[in-house]
Amino acid sequence: MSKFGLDMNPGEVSEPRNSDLASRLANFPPSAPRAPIDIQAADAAGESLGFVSREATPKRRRRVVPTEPKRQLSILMPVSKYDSFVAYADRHRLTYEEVISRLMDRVTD
Amino acid sequence: MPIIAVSNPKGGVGKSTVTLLMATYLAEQGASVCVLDADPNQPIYDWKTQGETKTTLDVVGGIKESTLMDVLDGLSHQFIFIDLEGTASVMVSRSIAMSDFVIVPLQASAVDVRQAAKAIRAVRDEEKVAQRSNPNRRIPYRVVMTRTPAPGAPVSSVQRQLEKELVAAGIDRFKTNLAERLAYKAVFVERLTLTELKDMKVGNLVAAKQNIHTLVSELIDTLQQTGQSA
Repeated sequence: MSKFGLDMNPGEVSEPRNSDLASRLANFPPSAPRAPIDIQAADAAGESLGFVSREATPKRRRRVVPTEPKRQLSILMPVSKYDSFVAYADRHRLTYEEVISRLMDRVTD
Repeated sequence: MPIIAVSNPKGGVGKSTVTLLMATYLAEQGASVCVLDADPNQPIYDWKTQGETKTTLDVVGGIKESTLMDVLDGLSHQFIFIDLEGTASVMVSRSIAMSDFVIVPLQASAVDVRQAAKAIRAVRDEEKVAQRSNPNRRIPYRVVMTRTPAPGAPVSSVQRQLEKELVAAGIDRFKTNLAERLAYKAVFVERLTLTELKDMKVGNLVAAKQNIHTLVSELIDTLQQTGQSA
């Protein structure tokens, strides 16, 4: 290297040496399931800063006209359970009633 | 082990670029890495599924607010990145709440910085919420400046002023910037990793890789310092 800073190829950079980085990566174990977070509190903290849901709520239409009389069932449940219930219904393209009926069909006692 | 959210409610600041470059580089070094593409435009999912890359990086697309937690629980990678959409949404705040580390990319512009401040406030608020049930819970973050001039090129007065203000505001940032480079654009156009671009004429590829190497090394240092490794 020139003592006078006469480096004629200042843009030339050597290939990075990776052996050190690769060995340090061994210190990171694979991820594992963690304790669930309080979704309701997390959403509330975000909402105060304008972090609101941008996902459209799917509109559901009844597919068949029921022949049997119906009763209303209203349930309060933890948000995490609610989310997994709705996610299951969406994944299998079922109404909430159909999901509950499926569960009831599996009850043996 | 760490779940790393890449967040800035402003669009176009380089979230997907930072995510893809860091994730593919880590995968190339032998780490098991997964990217959750939580951007509705699915840029990284598209990159992986529509291209011919041979990377070992896994990409999961179609993430929804209601499925995020289940998807994270099903993964067993050393590094999980969440590439978030450029808006303030429940998906973003939940991802931050579930993360071990947050990267906030920003360019030297007033709009970017104001939105980045919003992401940083969200990190601090979500950390406080998490500490109610676990006082030891920390969600460290670092700002990374993107699309900066390559080393040796003149730095704008706006960038210099921003760097001073970040220090004055006590905002933690990576010392390494992500420079504006043709190679980074080509990664998305060709749907290949930086290394896979080697036979194409896409600017100074060696310098581009050196930049990512330095940034990833700093990420690993920071994760180790903040207790996110074994």
